[in-house]
Amino acid sequence: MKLTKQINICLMAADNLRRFKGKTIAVIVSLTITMAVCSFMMFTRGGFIRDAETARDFLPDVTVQGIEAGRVAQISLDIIPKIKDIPHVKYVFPRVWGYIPLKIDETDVSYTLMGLDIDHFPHEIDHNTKNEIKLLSAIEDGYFLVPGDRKKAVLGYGVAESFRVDVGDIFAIAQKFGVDVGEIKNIGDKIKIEDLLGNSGEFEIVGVFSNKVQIYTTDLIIVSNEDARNFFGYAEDKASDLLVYLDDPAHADNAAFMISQLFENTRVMTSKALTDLLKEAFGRRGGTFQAMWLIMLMTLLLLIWAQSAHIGVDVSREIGILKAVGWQTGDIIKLKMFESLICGLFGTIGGILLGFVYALMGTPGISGYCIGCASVYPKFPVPVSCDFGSLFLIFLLGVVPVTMTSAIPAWLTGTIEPDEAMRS
Amino acid sequence: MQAVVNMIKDIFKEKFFQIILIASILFAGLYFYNESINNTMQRSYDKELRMAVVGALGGPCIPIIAQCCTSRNISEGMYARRSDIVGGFCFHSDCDVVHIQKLYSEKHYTLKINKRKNNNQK
Repeated sequence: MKLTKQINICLMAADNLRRFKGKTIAVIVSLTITMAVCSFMMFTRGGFIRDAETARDFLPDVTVQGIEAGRVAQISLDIIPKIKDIPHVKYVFPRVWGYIPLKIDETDVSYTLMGLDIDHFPHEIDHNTKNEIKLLSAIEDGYFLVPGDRKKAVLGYGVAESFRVDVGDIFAIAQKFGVDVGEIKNIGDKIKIEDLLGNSGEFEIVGVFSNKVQIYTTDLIIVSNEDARNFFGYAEDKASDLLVYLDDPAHADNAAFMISQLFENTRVMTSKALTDLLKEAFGRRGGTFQAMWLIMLMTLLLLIWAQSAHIGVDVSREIGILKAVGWQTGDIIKLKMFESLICGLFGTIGGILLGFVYALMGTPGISGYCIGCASVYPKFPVPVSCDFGSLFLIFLLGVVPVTMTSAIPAWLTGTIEPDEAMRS
Repeated sequence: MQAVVNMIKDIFKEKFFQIILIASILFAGLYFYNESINNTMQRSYDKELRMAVVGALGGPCIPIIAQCCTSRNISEGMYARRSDIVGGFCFHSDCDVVHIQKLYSEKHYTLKINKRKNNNQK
């Protein structure tokens, strides 16, 4: 039976791998490490991309920024009524934000102060009350700004730590062990922010974002638009950008086109454009790792080639005996290729498993490179995702080259004459 | 038929196959765990929170905008590589100390005027 023959050759290949343990372990371990590097990068990148795709539904349909001499600048609020006249536009909210360079404990940092139209946004667009409840859950301590709040701020986790706001008792524990952490602030206390550019403001801390949403909020200080305007010295009729919400997101492209046609010196971005930007950035990031991984794979393939091409005395004699007892050249080639296939499958599956576990653990050791700036962005949960396409690609890249690399050496081995092989 | 059954038994006895099978089952388990806990919007608490924040703030960026890769303006590189989208932040290893200096200069020159003494005063 043909199938029986193939399976018997396969089982014999497995026996052969066991006989040459050293070589087998060398190939499998190298392949596992190579495929683990490929897998964890693909899965982490996949996680970020998937997060970005999900975020698309929550982003404003269109974001409008002002342009001055080709650079992003302030935008006039005078255009809001005209934007509202565009069909399908439901809400337009101005946002005032900017970066604030600070010196905290002799360390230079840059945080983002972000003003929101608190009296209307995000409450007006949050028809779904559930979303508001979730937003409250995203606050570790305190509450999110409510309409009418002035001179109040919600801090990101990273900012709260820098300003020694006691969230989750981190500073209390440090003090308990005798570590001098300076003056500790609590929710309700005031912080004075004076940046290196000369802007300043005093805000009451009303809430701190949870560690779980650090990926988006760690460096943010959320205040009202008026407070942000006072801080940055914006004129009353200016904002950093405008968030446009439509009654139907399907009209986003049309609305964006009309805005860009109606107003000069504006930059108009749809939620899709923002999502694509994120994807592109992660693609580039993954590219660095892929280049590194490709070099590893090439080295491994050379190792396998060298190992397969070298026919030892034992292998030569074995082939001679096999051919003498009736094995065909094709069977010998199959045997050798099955050996590589088993190694390839073993190493690839091991690598995928290792890479997946490593990604789930938050890529310890190289997370600074993978997911953010170590000195500004503390650890946050990394989204991990693996789809069928990624898995298929990893298998294709792991198993096929390894099996194919051994094809020519296998053919060279298989064509040796039995008497010549046994004599050697 | 018996031969086929024996063959399948032989395959299952093979250790390489057993390990590959166990690794695949383990991976499948982790995959489904991850999908249900981390990625499915309806089930993942963390993801729900993240998206609530994105919705509430009107789309802050994940801090990964690679502006320094694309920008041709050298002063933007100096300006801590923060992007035009709120929260955007390049995560190159050399950008990890993020700060915006007020003055970029190696030496600070001060102009000091020394009055020449009048020869008559000598």
